[in-house]
Amino acid sequence: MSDHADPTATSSSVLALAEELRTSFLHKPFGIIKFWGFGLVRPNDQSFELVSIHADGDRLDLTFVHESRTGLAGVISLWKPEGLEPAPEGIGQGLAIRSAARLKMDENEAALEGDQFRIKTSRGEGVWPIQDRPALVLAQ
Amino acid sequence: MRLKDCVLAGLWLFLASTAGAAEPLQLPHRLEGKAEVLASTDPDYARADLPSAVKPEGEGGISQGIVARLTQDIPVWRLWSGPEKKDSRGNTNRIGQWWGYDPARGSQQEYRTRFEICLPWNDLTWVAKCTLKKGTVVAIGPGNSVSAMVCGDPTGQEAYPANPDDWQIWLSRAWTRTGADKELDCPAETEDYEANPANIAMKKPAKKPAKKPVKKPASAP
Repeated sequence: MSDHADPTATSSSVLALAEELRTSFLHKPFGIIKFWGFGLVRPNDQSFELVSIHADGDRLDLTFVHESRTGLAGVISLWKPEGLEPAPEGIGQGLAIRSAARLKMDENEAALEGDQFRIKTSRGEGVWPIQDRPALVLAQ
Repeated sequence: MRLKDCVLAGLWLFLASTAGAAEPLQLPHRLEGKAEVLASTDPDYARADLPSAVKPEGEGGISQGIVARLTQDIPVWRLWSGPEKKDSRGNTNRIGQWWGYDPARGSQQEYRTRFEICLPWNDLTWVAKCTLKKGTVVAIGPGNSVSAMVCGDPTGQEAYPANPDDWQIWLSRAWTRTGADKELDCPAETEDYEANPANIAMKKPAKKPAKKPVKKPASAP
């Protein structure tokens, strides 16, 4: 998978994004998880919340738990993430991260390929156009 | 202008003003007499969290919805993936926010299409029947379409059209409302049954035990 994200993204920008996220979205519920619009869960069947946000080099790790606090924590990782914004109108209340080079959650992984992204899941692999969709959406 | 022309013009203006206006949703037949529709001014209305249930075309959920308060207990059903299937965090999907007030029926594939449930979301192999108690406030509405992208199908094959005929119940934060003394009363998980894929109203037939080879009596010397 190639990497076309902004090469100027540095750990300091990731640190700043992590801090923004901690301030605005820690412990807020979300039941929609999307990588460039690609759904990873049934919309709003379950609900999760971020419990910690950790920056490591150019990678941002978002640790989440089920809202009921049952089960283990999961992690959504973003490489070279940039730009925090509200979730797209209509999708629901929540946040979006505008760009990233790569994203991962469980066995699901997505990576930028020019103006497209490649998604790999347990069901297979495909390439989809980005069409101005943010890299990550966590919404309700 | 003659009176007849005035009446016709008035009628035309009335029809023009109402054309395209969405009909307000009514309680589905099965819930008539068992629930009341709440106005947005009702203090309980916000408990349903309707905006989290109603989504744009292709995004799943319900395409439009109303907020209802049950006036009597009703049975509700949820198909799930069974006790052995856990997500990577160790949770089953027995309890979730999407439920049905229609008894589980038809084949597994028909149910998947009727309620727009994508393959990665739910195996639809087990059936839980619970009781939604009188006084519970929920969002209900017809199922919305789901695009292949929202379905989580990298190959772009799996997608579902909206279904105005089969409505769904959205029980916001269901896990906080579950218990014998709460709004959603579910029996022990052992009361659920593994569904027959050809007819989910029925239990999956038990596997017949393999026949033991009949030992031939030792021939007499």
